[in-house]
Amino acid sequence: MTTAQRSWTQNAITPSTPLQGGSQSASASIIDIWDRMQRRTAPGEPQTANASITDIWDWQLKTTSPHGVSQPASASITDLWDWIRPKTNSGGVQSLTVAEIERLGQLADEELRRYLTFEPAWDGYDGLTFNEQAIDRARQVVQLATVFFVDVKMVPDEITPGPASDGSVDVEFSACGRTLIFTFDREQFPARVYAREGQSTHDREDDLQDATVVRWLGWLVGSLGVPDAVDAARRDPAYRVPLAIRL
Amino acid sequence: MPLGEIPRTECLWRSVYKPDQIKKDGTLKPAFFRDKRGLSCDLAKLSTVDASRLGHAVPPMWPITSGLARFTVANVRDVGADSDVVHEPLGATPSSRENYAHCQLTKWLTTEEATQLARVAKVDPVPRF
Repeated sequence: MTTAQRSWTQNAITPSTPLQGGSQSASASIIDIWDRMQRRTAPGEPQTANASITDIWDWQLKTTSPHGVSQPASASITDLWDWIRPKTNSGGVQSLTVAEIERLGQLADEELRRYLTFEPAWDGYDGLTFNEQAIDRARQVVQLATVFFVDVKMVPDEITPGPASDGSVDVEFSACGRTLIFTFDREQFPARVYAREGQSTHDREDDLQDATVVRWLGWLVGSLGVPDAVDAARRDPAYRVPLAIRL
Repeated sequence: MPLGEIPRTECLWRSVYKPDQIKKDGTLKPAFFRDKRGLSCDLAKLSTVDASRLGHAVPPMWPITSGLARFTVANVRDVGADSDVVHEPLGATPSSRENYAHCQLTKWLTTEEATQLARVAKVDPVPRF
């Protein structure tokens, strides 16, 4: 990760902590992502505060194995990241590539922050204002995606936010002839995911935790299959309680 | 009084009011067509380009830089089996200062449907942000 990139993402990504059971030097960005996941854990949600990264990732794998792509059955987050990385681009990271990815991410972030300044009826009709939590979540996804694209050494065709009159917000990614749109509603939970490749589309609700976002981005760059649908129980925020007990 | 079913060939207009509603390539973002409460637009036949682009209030409330998205009733109906548009006038009569041309989409468009509509809609005049 470059100094410039770290400085931009610093508001969401804290300095690294040792990664349990993983190769730290090879996957610094994974550690950053994990740090961010830990930082965002709300009080009273001990599952990420106490569990190891391997525990969480193993749980993710058990509950959301991708379709059509074989991969390590019980891989750590480092394994999964390594699974994605070699399949996308074998060239070295060019500084221009990093700068371009970061520029796209930064523009998207600035646009998302601008939505918070919109007044009621911002669209000339009766457009609703934007929920700060929804915007924050959209910004976190953009930052996560920026780190992801730098790591896989790929400049996406676009990272485009979009404001809707009902106060929901889109974040659209395009790469490799595929389109991925995350929609964050004013009510915040759950989000929606729209994925298109040619005539094939998927449109459904999703919890969009960071690990799920990474899976969808893995699909976007052609390294993973479409993630399994999340069942209704996991979409319920209250489901975090039994998850904490299990861990 | 609301009109009955609107013919497929009728044109619909919706103001493009913010630069954040269009992509860099000039096409509309799918979010432009998404509103859970029913997306507002104007029936072109009952409006004028400037009224729909700048607002129906006197003096106009919206900036002179606003653009206009143009699409047809057929476009709306073709994106989904239950997708339609109805006349929902905001004023009592055609001479009312409120918006007699006002129409509303009958359903919340999914991202796929909104994407399809964004693909066929034209932006003219182009906003000058």
